[in-house]
Amino acid sequence: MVKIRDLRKDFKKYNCTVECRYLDIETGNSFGIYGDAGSGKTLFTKIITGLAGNYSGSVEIGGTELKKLYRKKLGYVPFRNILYGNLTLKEMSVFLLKHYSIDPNEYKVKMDWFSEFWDIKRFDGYKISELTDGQLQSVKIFAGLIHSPSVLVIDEPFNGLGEENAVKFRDLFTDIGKRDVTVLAVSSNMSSLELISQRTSSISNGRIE
Amino acid sequence: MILNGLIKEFRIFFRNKTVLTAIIFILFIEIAVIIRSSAAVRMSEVSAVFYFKFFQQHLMIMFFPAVLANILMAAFSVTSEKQSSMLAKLLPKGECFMMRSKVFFCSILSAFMGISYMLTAVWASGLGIFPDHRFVIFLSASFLFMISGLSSFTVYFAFSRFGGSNDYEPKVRVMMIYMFIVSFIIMVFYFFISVSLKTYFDYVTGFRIDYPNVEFLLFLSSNFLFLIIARIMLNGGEKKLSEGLI
Repeated sequence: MVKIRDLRKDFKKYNCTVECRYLDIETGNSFGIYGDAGSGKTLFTKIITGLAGNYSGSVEIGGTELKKLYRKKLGYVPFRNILYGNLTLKEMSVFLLKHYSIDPNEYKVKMDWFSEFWDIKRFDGYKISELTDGQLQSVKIFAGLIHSPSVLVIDEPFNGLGEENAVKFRDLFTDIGKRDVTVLAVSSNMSSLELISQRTSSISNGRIE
Repeated sequence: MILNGLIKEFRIFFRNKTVLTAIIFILFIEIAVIIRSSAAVRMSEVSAVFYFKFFQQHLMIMFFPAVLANILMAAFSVTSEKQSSMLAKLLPKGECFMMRSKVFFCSILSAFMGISYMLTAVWASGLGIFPDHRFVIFLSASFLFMISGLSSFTVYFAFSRFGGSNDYEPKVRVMMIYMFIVSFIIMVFYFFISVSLKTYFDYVTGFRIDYPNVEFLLFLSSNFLFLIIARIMLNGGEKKLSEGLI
């Protein structure tokens, strides 16, 4: 469960203050936050994933305060690519699995499972930098889920994929919801977000309504 | 975990065509110097001073590939991290892992390029008569301290001065400052090694009876001190990176 109370963080660099007074997301649920460009969506995801510290208020994930939370419990799919462009999908995945102290042979199991939603098996030997935007987005989601996190945060899920993938997202979120993974997705596309999330909210000028 | 980091660094580093070309070019230069030196030494029938000069030069040259490996690391490997620095902040102990795997890789590459050159050059040129066991141990330890310190400093400098918000793309001015500092470190290092080699030559040629232990220890200590300072800087860099200050 994700529990947020009186959250406030000033991002002076972006001239934006992110505020969220009350938010609860039940375990296994998917929650969407809609907001226009510059509304503070990405900054909010940075707080939730622990990338931006020194906030006031509290953010609890599974009963543990975010500041004390082990990073292994979080999965983050940011808007821009953070995977190594010079590595192939398989090399990148094995690198992540080894870093999370998971058996690298799990790669095949994870790949088979994820390919039920997006067939990324065929990019196995491709370098990350060689992938198209859509392929990259599906690979980013795979990388975010590879260590079986408790919470998955996705910034702009439809980035490069198109709205026709809404059904795949819904199926994926339902599947990982059964495995007690909570999903928080932020997007500027309200209609698509409503299709893939069980509950939605909006953000404007950094304030989550 | 470190092996995982080294494999990643190896792939990132050597898949960059500029880096690969530079490394191959350096290896060619090393081979050319060894062949030339070997031919020059064998052709001449001169004194021990002449031979020792060659020996000394090979020891001095040994540090250039090590320095070049550091420059390549700063200019290409850290830059290739780009947005992936965010990945390091998401992985458990990721910042520490990212910086240390770069330091380890840079140290191994420097040692490989430097030591392999020195050993090949000395023995291919028939200069193996000069180094005794104590000298080899002293020199190896000094070299390891030196390259570990230099690699730690390089990675610290790259992460703290290149600017994460700028995707670690170094500005010309910052790169010039880095080159200046590295040049200064090497000059200080050369000063100490020159003193040590002079006394060692006196000992080898019989002008001095006692082994130059004091000079060697001074040189070894200065390198160890440099390593300690560089590691403290690296630890500070790791802390700043994890706190999001750099």
